[in-house]
Order: sequence, then C-alpha cells, then structure tokens
Amino acid sequence: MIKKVILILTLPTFVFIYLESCNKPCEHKETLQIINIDSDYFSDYTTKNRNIAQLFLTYESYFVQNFSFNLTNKSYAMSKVENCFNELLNPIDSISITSKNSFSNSYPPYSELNKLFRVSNSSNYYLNNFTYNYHESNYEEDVQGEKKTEFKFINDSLPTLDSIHNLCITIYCRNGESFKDSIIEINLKSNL
Amino acid sequence: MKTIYFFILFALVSFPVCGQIENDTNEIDYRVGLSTKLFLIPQRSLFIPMSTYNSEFYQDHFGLTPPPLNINRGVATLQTTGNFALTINSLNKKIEFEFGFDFGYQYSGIENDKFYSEVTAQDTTYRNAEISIDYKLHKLSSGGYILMKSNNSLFNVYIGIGLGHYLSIGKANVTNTILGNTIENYKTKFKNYSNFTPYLALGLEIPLGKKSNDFYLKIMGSLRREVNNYNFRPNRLFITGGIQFQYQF
Repeated sequence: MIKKVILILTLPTFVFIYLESCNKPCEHKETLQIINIDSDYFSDYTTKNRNIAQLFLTYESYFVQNFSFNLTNKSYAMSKVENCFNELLNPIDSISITSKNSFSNSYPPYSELNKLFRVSNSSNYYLNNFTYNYHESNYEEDVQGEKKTEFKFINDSLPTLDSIHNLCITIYCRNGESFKDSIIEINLKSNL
Repeated sequence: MKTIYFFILFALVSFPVCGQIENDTNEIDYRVGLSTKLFLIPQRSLFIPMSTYNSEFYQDHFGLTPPPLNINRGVATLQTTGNFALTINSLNKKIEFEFGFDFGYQYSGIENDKFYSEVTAQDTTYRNAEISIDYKLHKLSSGGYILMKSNNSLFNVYIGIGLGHYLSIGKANVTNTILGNTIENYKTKFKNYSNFTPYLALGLEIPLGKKSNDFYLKIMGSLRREVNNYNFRPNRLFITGGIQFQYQF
C-alpha cells in the first residue's frame, strides 16, 4: 500500500517541480556602476605612427532582488528565463583627452585632443562622438559577468610641437559623475 | 468555483436530513485524530526584513539599487495536525459525511537569500559586500473540511472540499560580510503573512478494527489552490499527500 501511495504521489510531484522550474524569474538582477578608471598609453610597433591610449574601467555590480511583479507572467509559462540585468547606473556620455603641452599650432596647451583619437576597430568613429552604455542586449551577447573593461583610442597624427605630453583623460557620466586619470610624460613621437 | 458551490449546497441540504437520521436510526459519531501531510509545492514570498533594508550597511552598499521586492521559493513542507471531526450517515447508510477541523504546525525549513556586490576590474573580480539572510519558516495552520465517503467495512473512498489557512511566524538570521569577513550577525523579523488555501480532498479510509467505534487510517490527497498576489504566479495549484489516524467514539 505504501509503495502505491508513494508511486501515486511521485509522478505529480515531478510534474509540479518541472513546471515550477520552467518559468523561474530572475531573482537578482544586476545593477552596474563604474567606480574607477585607469589609463595607459603605448605605441603600436606593428604599424607606424600609431599611438594608442588605453582606458580601463572598474565596475561594481550589485545583485539585489529587483524583478517586477507582472500579472501576465502566467501566460509565459515554459518561456525562457529573462535577462538578468537591470541597468548601468552611470553610462559614459563623453570622454575628453587634453594635453598640458602644445600638440600643434591648432592644439595649444590644455586644448582637447578628441578629434585626433579614433576609437579602436572603427575607421571613422572619433573620440568626440564616443558614448558607452551597457544594455540587456550586451548581457545577452556577453558571457554573464564579463563586462567590457578596456577601450582603445588610436592617435594617427603626431605632434608638430612638443614631443613629451602630459595627458589628462576625463570621462563624464550621465548621472553627473566624472572620473579622471593622467598619463605623465609620454613621448608621442617615440615610435618614429 | 462551481464545484465549491456545489459542495456547500450539498452540505447545507444534507445536514438537516442527517439530523433527522440521528433521531430515527442513526447518531453522530465523534472522531479525534492526528495526521501528517507533505505539501508539494506551495510558494513562499520572502521579503527582506525592514530592519535590514533600513540598516546603514544596506544603504551604504546597496542604496543605489532599486528597492528590493521579494523572492519566491517553492517549498516542500511537512505539516503535523491535530484533528476533530464528526460523522453522520445518510438516510440509506450508503454514504457517510464527515465534518472536521484541523489545527497544526508546519515547518518549511530554512530558505537562504543573498544580496551582494562584486567588483570587476581588468584583471580581477572579487566579492565586496554581502548580506546573507536565512529565513526560518514556521507556520500555524488551521482549516475545516467536509467529506463524502462510501460506507463499507473493508475500505472507503472519499471526496470532499476544505479550506486551509496558515499564519506565518518566521524569523530571519542576517549576516553582513565585507571581503569575506563577517562583521555583523543578528536575528530579526521579516514580513509575515497569512493565506487561505481552498482544496479538493480525495483519498481512502481503512477501518483498523471491526467495530464502528475504533481506529481508522486515512490515506489523504488533495489539490489545493494558492492565491497570493506577491507570488510569482499569483494563482496556482499544488498537491498534498499524507496519512491520518483517527479514533471514533
């Protein structure tokens, strides 16, 4: 008798467990924030006249319950698990690279050099148009947890006045925050 | 709902008839019992304790995020219940009715939830702050039911309706850590709630003796409806199964 009862109860139990697991919502969505930047600079010796600025981002991710209750969820039973990402709190609205030194007659000290830096892997996308946000679509494409932490900006032109430059890189975020880092005494003609 | 209305109507119509039987050939018998049931799988909506949400630790490390809502966990719970019932035969004695009340205790185990932050740099990822919450889920349960049973000496099948209710009396154990080091641990309350679960009962009853006033074993099953707007699926069904020993006097 006990065996029969166990048998009778086992099948519906597994069915219930299966149905429960099919539409499990994301319990803890990720909220992301840029908390720091580091920058570096190097010359690309494989191709002449290419100086490359590197920008490294440090993120903090907060995994907190914040899914929304949704009355229509029931109709999505058996559908795939939703993306588990909320938002980047401080997407980058713009980046500014300035030099303390004279780059050329057109770029005196403390002028912005954004138009001289091209975004890596792009032929005509320059730094003065650069923005960055992290969306759910990024989250779908990336392996979860692997954010883009590095950006490269290529300088095709060489200075005509000072060789040694002190660069200041500033990123401006949509929430009003800004982060600064400096690259000190870089010889922008060193790869000639 | 039509089924429930049918059973209520059936019970209301039947009860005066049964009363008449008591005067003629029949009597009301009383039963006390003890049952244990496995609940598969009710959902619990667990809320972050308000004292934790308002704590300096939470606000310092997670204050930038949207306010947390609740998480849903399917739990398998074991309920132990005391039972009092009365039975009445129908006119032709082919059907027996049982009206009963249950009062019990239900333990749903410990459910854990975590809030945490991770720092991701170019060459490293590490966990910074973490709040770990162990929810201990205790419940007081009660309910009433009406069963319609066959009336044989070997075994009987029954079907019926019932209404269960539970009152959650859970507590939470909260641990705050920074970079893997525990800096605070405390116990607190979290948002409790009570809930009704109407159900359809189905099962077998086996007399354990030859006399009518003796022990009975019930093998019980039920299909229960769970309505809770906080749950991920606010309106759902789950099943229970269990056994009950009753003594009739």
